Amino acid sequence: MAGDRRRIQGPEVTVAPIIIKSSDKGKIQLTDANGQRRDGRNLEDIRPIFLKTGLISQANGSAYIELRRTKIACGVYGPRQTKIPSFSGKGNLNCEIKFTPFSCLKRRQPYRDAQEKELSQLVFEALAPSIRLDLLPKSTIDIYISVLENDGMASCFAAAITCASVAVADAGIEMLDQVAACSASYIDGDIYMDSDLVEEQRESGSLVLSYMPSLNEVTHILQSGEVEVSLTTQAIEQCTDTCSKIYSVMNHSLLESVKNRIQ
Amino acid sequence: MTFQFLSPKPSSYTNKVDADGDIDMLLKTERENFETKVVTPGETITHATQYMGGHGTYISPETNQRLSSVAGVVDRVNKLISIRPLHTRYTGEIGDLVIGRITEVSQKRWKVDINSRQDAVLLLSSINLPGGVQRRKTEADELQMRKFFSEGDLLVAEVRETFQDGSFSLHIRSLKYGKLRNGSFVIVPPALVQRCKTHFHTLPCGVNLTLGLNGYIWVSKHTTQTVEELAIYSNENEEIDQENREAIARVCNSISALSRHFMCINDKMIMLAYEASLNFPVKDLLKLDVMEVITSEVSEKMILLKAGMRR
Repeated sequence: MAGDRRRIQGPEVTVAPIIIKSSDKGKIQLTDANGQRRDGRNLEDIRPIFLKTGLISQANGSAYIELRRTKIACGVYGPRQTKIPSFSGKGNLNCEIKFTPFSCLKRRQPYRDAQEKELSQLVFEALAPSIRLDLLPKSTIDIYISVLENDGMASCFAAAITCASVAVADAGIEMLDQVAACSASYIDGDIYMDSDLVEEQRESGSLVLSYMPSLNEVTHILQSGEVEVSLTTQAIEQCTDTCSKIYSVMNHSLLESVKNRIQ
Repeated sequence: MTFQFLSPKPSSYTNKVDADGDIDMLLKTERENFETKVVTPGETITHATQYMGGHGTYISPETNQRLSSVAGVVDRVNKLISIRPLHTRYTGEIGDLVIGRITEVSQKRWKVDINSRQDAVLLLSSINLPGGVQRRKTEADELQMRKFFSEGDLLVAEVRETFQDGSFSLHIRSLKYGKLRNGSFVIVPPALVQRCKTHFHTLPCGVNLTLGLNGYIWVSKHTTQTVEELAIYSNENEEIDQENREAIARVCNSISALSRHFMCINDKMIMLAYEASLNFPVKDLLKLDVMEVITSEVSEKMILLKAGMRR
């Protein structure tokens, strides 16, 4: 096989890694006797959401979301003229998610890594169906998401989608509906909604659902790990219900900002 | 035989008459569905199918309801419903006065940033040449386009034409329009600037004000010279003394205060804000609490003025 000599050549025969499930000893108890989680919420509850628009004055639209220790800011620039002159009847959507160096437990490099690229693409896939790009020929919308603090990757990703959608609405860009997103973790056969970092380390799989509540349409589903079909269906149902709750928070914060301006 | 004159009956509609004298034909209950209603994207505006949809609305293919696609206030003109987003880019109309910044010089045209979805174009054929001569633009003119406008220059122009893709063509074929000098630039949301008879004002504090409908505002030193005397495309700023500089800065900061509190911007409002700001030194005007004091004073004065007009 002609390969790149500068790369480290792997062995010719591959062997599946042996995954050793560590014993339950010495682990933190995730739920107490009453079925409540460490921060006092039930399995199907999410963390309280703080959501505010218009924090970045330079941007055309912006939003900030906080779910306890998950903190994300998002700025939307545009629609503005596409720089490279190539005609397209539809608008371009650029999403970029960025973890600040201090956002995770381990320090992150300031440059863009593979995970950020992947998440950026996923945010794009979740948001693009909701925005009316057909009305914006030759234009570009840039969405920049900065994660200030990350408390669980799946919930952080879901919060980023929610936050970006509100920021797009704040920019006055025409869209079919706002996208609310929420995450669920599968831990020992139970579904933990909106899990945090400690819970996420124990999960056997996770699901992130992006959903447009008033149109009743799902824009994006991301599932990872090993799980049974019945549990997945249950998780999707729970996520759609939760998204509708998140949607009311999104609506509230948008209405607040509009009403503040009218008066 | 005696004639009896009957006074005209009030109509069965309890209706408002708008500024153009159009009578509102909706029933009261219907109207209350819309008045000052604030909606978010995806929210149902109305179930009724009799209305026409304007900007910011779409029909859901499944339920046939009219939904909103932006966050803003419902605007209804008779049967036409549209949603006015408060925080959006500028969408112009022919004849609008705008202020823009040159972003690119290309063949026979300039690209101008006017805060809209696309950059506007200013054709070489839609400018006046220095000296005021009317003639065909030659290749020689094309070569020295940077002498008229180069990248970063500010100009005031009028919208000549609008295009399907949301871009505009501008013209400056009047001595009122042209390059901007001797002043300071402020950006406000375009929704705040109202269409007026004139957008060129000279404030009593000795400051010239140009209000672009795209939310770009130019505050400059008052000059008594006519435009013809000046070289139209000059890049040289004149000497501005301390007093004038302070007045310009004060007006700029008053405008920022009004825009921060989302109050509409015209010469009257700016003057009220300017008067209210006189109690503070210029550099304090950008502090949040001072802004609040100024704007609340302005809104009080506006209420008094309105009451006075009614009497």
